[in-house]
Amino acid sequence: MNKIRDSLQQSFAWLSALITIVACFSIIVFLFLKGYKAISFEFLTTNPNPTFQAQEAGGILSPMAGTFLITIIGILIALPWAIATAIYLSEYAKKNLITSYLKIAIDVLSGVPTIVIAIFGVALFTMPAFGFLSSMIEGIEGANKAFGKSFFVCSMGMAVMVLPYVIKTCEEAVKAVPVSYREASLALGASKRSTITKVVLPSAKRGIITAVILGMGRIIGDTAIVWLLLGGSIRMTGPQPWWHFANWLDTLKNTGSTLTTYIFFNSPAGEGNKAELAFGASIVLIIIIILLNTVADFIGSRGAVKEE
Amino acid sequence: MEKLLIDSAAKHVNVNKNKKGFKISPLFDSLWEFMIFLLAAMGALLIIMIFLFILLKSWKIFSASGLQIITTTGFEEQIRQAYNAPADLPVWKFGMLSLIVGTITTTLGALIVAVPAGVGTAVIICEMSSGWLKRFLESSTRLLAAIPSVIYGLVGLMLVVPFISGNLLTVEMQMKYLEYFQLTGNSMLAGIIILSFMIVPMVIALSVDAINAVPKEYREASLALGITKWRTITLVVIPAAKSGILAGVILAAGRGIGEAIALSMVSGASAVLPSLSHGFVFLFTPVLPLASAIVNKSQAISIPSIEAALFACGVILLVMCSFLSICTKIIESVVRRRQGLE
Amino acid sequence: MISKVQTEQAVFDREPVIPEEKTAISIRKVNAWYGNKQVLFDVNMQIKKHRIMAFIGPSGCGKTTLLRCFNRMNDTIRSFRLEGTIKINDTDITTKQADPISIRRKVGMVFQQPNSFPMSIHRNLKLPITENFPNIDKAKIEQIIKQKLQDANLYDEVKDRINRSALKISGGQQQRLCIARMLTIEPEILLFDEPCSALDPLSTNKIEDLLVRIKEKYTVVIVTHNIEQARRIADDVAFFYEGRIVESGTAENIFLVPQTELLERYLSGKI
Repeated sequence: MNKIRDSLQQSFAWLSALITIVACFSIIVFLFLKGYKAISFEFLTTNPNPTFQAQEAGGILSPMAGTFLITIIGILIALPWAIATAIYLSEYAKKNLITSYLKIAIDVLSGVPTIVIAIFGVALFTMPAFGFLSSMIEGIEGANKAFGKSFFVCSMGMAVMVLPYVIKTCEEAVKAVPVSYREASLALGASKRSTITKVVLPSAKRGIITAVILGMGRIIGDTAIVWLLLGGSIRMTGPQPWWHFANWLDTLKNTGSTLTTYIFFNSPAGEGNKAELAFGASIVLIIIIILLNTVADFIGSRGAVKEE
Repeated sequence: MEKLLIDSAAKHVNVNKNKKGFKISPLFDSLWEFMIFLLAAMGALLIIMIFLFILLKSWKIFSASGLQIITTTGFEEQIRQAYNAPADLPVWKFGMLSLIVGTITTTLGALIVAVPAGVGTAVIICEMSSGWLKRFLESSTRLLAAIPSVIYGLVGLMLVVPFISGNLLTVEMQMKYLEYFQLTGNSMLAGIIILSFMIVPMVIALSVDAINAVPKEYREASLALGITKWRTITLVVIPAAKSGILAGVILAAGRGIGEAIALSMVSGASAVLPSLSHGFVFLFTPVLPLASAIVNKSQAISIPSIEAALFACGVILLVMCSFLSICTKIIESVVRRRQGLE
Repeated sequence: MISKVQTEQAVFDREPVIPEEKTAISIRKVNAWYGNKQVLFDVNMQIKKHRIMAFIGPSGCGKTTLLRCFNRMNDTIRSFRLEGTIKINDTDITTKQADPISIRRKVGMVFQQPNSFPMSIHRNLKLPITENFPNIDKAKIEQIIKQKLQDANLYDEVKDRINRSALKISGGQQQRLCIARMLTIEPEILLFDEPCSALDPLSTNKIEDLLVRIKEKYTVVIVTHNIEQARRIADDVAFFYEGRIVESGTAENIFLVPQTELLERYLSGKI
């Protein structure tokens, strides 16, 4: 009787492990089978066209560029912010009410759904004061409102979204630096500031790089924030050609798409109904994410070996 | 390594002393400290700002609807009225019960599937496998966690939804329920299936951490008492890891509640109040969770009252998720205290 | 050094052979390895019933390794390998056919650190009972729990908080709880791996009294770093050095007339 119960439990555990593996692989295989036909050199190097004709739909150049822009700007905003917060929490913060509030606040922030951050962005960046980040709505009488959708705005939303994760990873990296390093530096007469910038941060470099990569992975995969803060336009809406040096500021102040919104758009849930293109873009997205994960693993494992 | 760092620190200190023009004054030091504090404080203020902003934006909805916002249904119809209402007579009253129920049922359903499966997989990873199998399981879990939600939505839409409508639904059923809602494959069940795969890696990861943190002394004690390896796992290891596993479950629940894109693609996008009186068709009801409602109705956001209604959805979501985040800490410490670990 | 140890092995060989029926554990030609590193060299020994056998010697000399062989706890270490025979009740427990679970039911063990489970005291004791005797009724379980707590001299101290976490009582009490927990499975042989090394003198005293009292019913094998402790409680002593038994015999012989220079140096604290 007990043996039956034990073997049932064990089979259940093995079955769930098996399902995890099978699910992972069947998703990847399914994407590849459905989408490999869409992928070509042309698919990767042309801009998309909003059209019903599949032949003229173009490729994913500008969505890839959009993903790239948002990821880079988002991380550039989030990283210094996160490092400063991590340093404050691990080096300066005293044990008091403010610090424990800070910690709870960051905890709660990490539990806020991305869609809520997205509508917060809508509320904030449609205020006329922030019009310089997107553009002002013109032509409607009495509507003193900013458009609230642009690469700048979207990147800021992304920065808020990844902030708590990057803080946590950076904090762990900074805390992992042995106290003896700090003491050695302080004993040599270095100030606390130079101890942090010259000794602590360089020693925590590997952890900080991991934090950056994890943060990038989250930004690349997010759809909700892009949907509300960059909008549903599939092409770059700034002056063409969008990639031209002279237009870069306008491009960033206007909207476009990323790989995730491109997939959403072209799936049956969106308007495009060109599922094959959505699958093609999914393959590209998955490959980017697997590459990022591999790099993060590689850095992590090299660190582990070195510390042994 | 340590010596090297000390050397480099010494070098920097000397540099600061030697180059007189480069010497950094205490003023700069305190400025730097202030900047760091400012940035940290900004991060902490964000959550308050988010809450205040979306609450202000949706205040009219809450003051007009009162408690009815969480006790009545009719969201779909109210959105339509608001869309067609003349600008001087906007609709502010909304009832979001069906959205809230949709959120809870999909999340709860996904938890019922994902928690046992996730803990089971974690046990296999930590205790029953080694070498390549362990690494393989770990990397599969990480990949599942990294797949973006829009891809889950796409797979759900192209694989799960056709499967449900092709194999589980019959024409008679569709005829019978036509007066309540349309039975397509897009349903609560599709949402639960997709959401389970999205949250299972989270449950696995946190359970693995919790199980690995159980000291090996407990395992040894149990084995030395003549208890089999499997019973040791179920009777000693998992109970000792309980607080960590619970934290993972609550975190996963938060993820489920906040999931917008994937669910808006597969769950039916129609604010029906699911009813248990329909029997197993309950699972095939199309639902519209709060987060998906924001995505789904965002095209009409230019209408002020609809915008406010969507912000109200955001407030309810935020309250639910913040509550869960705070609960995690409290439950964790209560469990650990009862176990005597704190 | 090694040759000296080998010649001194002869000291053991001259000892009279103990009759089989009085032997609890009989060890023949045991060699053991962790990976490529040999940790036990050709160990032979008879452990007598209803007596306290103490293993003494400097740390890293293989005492604990041998002790953990008696209930197959070394199975959990992947690189561990053993040759030779260890017989309990005339069955060799080192073979693949021997079931480690039933061996561990016969041979209880208490570890260096108190390892009570993070559960209530009551559950700590109930768990091994229900696992090992599945068809036992509730009243009987309560009776056993009370009995074993009394056996371990703990009942009066914890009877009011038996449903509180076992981690909330002191280290010494926890160690006695671990002893009570071990006794619930009705073992014949009790293994103690430095049970007092983490405890204060008072708790140590209580556990030593307990050991002397329970040897009537059980066979006790204890590993200890503390020579005084061995002197106080042991009936037989085996002195280990670098994986070999250098000298063994009754406690009086070992402590009063050490035969080897190594043991003499160890007893005077020079090793």
